[in-house]
Amino acid sequence: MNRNHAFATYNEIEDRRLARLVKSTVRYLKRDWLNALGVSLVLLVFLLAIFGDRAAPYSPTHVDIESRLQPTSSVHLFGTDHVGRDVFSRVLSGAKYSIWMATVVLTVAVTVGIGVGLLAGFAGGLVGELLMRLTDLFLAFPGLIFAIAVAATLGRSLTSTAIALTTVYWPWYARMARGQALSLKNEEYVLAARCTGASLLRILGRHIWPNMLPILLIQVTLDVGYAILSTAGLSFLGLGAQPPQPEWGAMILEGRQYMRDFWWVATFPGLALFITVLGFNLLGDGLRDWLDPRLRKGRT
Amino acid sequence: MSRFLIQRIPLTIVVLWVLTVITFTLSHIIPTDPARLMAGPKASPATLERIRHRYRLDRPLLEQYATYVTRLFQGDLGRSMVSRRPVAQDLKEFFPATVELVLLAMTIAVVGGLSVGVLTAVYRGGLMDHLGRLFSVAGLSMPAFWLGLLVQLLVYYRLGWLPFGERISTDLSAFNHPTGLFTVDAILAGRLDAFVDVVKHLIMPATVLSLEPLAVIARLTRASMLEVMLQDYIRTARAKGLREQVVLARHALKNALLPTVTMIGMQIGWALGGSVLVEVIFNWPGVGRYAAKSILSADHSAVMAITLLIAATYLVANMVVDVLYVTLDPRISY
Repeated sequence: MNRNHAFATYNEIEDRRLARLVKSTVRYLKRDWLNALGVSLVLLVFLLAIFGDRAAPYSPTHVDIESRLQPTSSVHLFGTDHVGRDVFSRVLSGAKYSIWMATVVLTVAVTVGIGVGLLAGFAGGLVGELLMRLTDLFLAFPGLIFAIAVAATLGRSLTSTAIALTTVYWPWYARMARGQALSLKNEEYVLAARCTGASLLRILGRHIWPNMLPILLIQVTLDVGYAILSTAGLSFLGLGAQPPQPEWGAMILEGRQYMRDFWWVATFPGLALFITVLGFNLLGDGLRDWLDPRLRKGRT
Repeated sequence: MSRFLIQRIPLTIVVLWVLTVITFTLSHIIPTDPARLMAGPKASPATLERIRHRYRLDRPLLEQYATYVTRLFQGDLGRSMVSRRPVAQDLKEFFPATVELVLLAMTIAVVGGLSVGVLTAVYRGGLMDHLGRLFSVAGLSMPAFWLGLLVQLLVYYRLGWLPFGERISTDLSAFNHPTGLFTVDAILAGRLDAFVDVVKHLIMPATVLSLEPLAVIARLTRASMLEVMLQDYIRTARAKGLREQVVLARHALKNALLPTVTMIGMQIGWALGGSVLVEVIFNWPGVGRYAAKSILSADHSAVMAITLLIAATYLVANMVVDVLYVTLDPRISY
C-alpha cells in the first residue's frame, strides 16, 4: 500500500475545510440578494469605522463660519453645518462611534447576561428564582425610559450611555441563556458528561456553549443595530455624545432646528444611521435563516 | 381565570413597590442639586436651604422614601420643581395625550403588521414576499426621530398637508374634555370638525411611532403563519374543499396569532418608551416629552411618578394580553 495516497495530509484537510467554508459563504450570499446586501453594508460600515477619519476630505471638527450652512456641492458633498463643518467628513468619522459603542455595550451585556442566565438555569431552586426575578425587574421598565434615567443620573457622555444601555440589554441575554440552559441540561450528552464526573465549567464550555453559539450569534448581530439606534437616540436627547463629537445622533440633534431650510445637516447623518442598522438587521436575518434548521427545512 | 388574577395582581403590586425603591434610589443619586436647579445659579445659601426644607430634601433618605410612599397611597405624587404644579395635575393633562397617540399608533401597527405578515406568508417567495420583508427590515432599522424630521419636512413644511405641534387647533378646542382623549371628547360633544382636526394632528406622530411595532408584528405574523400552514389540520381543511380565504382566516391566522398577541403586549411597552423621542420631535404634549424634560432637569417627583405610571401601564397591558390568550386558545388555563 502506498502510504502517501492512503491518508490525507494535514494541509489537504485544512485546504478542504477552507474550500468548504468558501463554498458555504458563496451559497449563503447567492441564496438571497438581501443576504449579500446585508454583508456588503456591514463590511462598508466596518471599513468606515477603521478608515473613516483618513478618508474624510476635511477634519470633522474644523469650524469655518464663513462656509456655514452651504448646500451640497462638489466641494462639500453633503453640505456644511451651522458652524461650517463638512457634513460628509463628519458622517465618515461618525461610524467609529457607533461601532465602538455597540461593541462595548454588547460585550458587557452578553458576558453579564449569559453568566446570570446560565447560573440561574443550572443552579435552579431559590438562587435561580431570585436571579430571574431580578432579571424580570429590569425588564419591567420600558428600555428607553430606563436608559434615559440611568444616563441622566450618570452624566452626559458616551460612557454613561454605554452603562445605561448595558443595564437595558443584559436581561434579554440572561433570559435567553437560562432558556438554553434549561433545555440543554437534560440532554443525554450532558447527563453522560455529569456521570463521568465532568465539572460544571467543563460541561458549560464543552457542551452548552457550542450549542448556544448559533442562537447567540444571531441575537448579537440583530442587537448591534438596536444598540447603534439607542446610542443615537440618547445622543439626540442630549445625553450621549457631546459637541463637537461627530456622532450621528448628536448631528441630527444639531441639525433639527435647521431642518426647514437647510435639510442636509440632519438628513445625511440619519441616512448613514439607517443604512448601518439596515445592514446589521439584514445580516442577522440571513444568519437566522441559515442557521435555523427548522426554517431551512420549511423552504420549498 | 379568577385564580390567575388573584395570583397575578398581588405579584404586580410587589413589582410596583420594588420599582418605587429603584426609581427613588435612581432619582436621588443624581449628582445635580435640584434646589440649585430650581433657584438658579445665583441663589443664596439661605434660599437653597429654604427650598430644600420646603421639598423635604434635607431629610434622611429613608424618611424621604417613607413620606413618598405614604403620599402615594393618598394620591399625592408630589410637586414638580419644573412646572411648579402637582405632578398628578401634570400627568392628568399629559397622560391622555400619550394614550391617544399610542392607541392610534398600535392600531396602525396591528392592522398593517397583520396584513403585511399574512400577505408575505401567503405569497412566499414571490415579489410581494421580498418587498414585504424589505419593508419590515427597513421599518426596524429606521431611526424614529430622523423619520419624524423627514415627515415634518415633507408633509408640513413643503406640502402643508397636515398641522404640526399641539393636539388640536386653538380655534376648535373650545369644548369639554371629560376623558382627556380629544378624539373621544370631540365625538361626545358632537363636534365632527374638532374630531377631524384632532386626527389630522395625530396622524403624523402616530404613523412614525407605529413603524417599528408594525415591522415586528409583520415579521412575527409571517413566521407564525408559515409554521402553521405546514400543519396537518391545514392540509385537512384544504382537502375538505374549503376556500383558501376560509382556511387562512379561520384556521391558519387564528392559531398564528398566539405569539403575535404576546408581541403586541410587549410592543405597547416599547411604544410607551418610544413615544419619548416621537413626542419631542413633534412637540406632542404627552408624558414622553414631560419625561424627557423631567429627567434632564433632575425633577425627582416627576421622574418617579412617570416611571411608575409607565411601568404600571406596561404591567397591566401584559396582564390583558395573558387574558386574551385564553380567548384565542381555550386549551390554555392558568
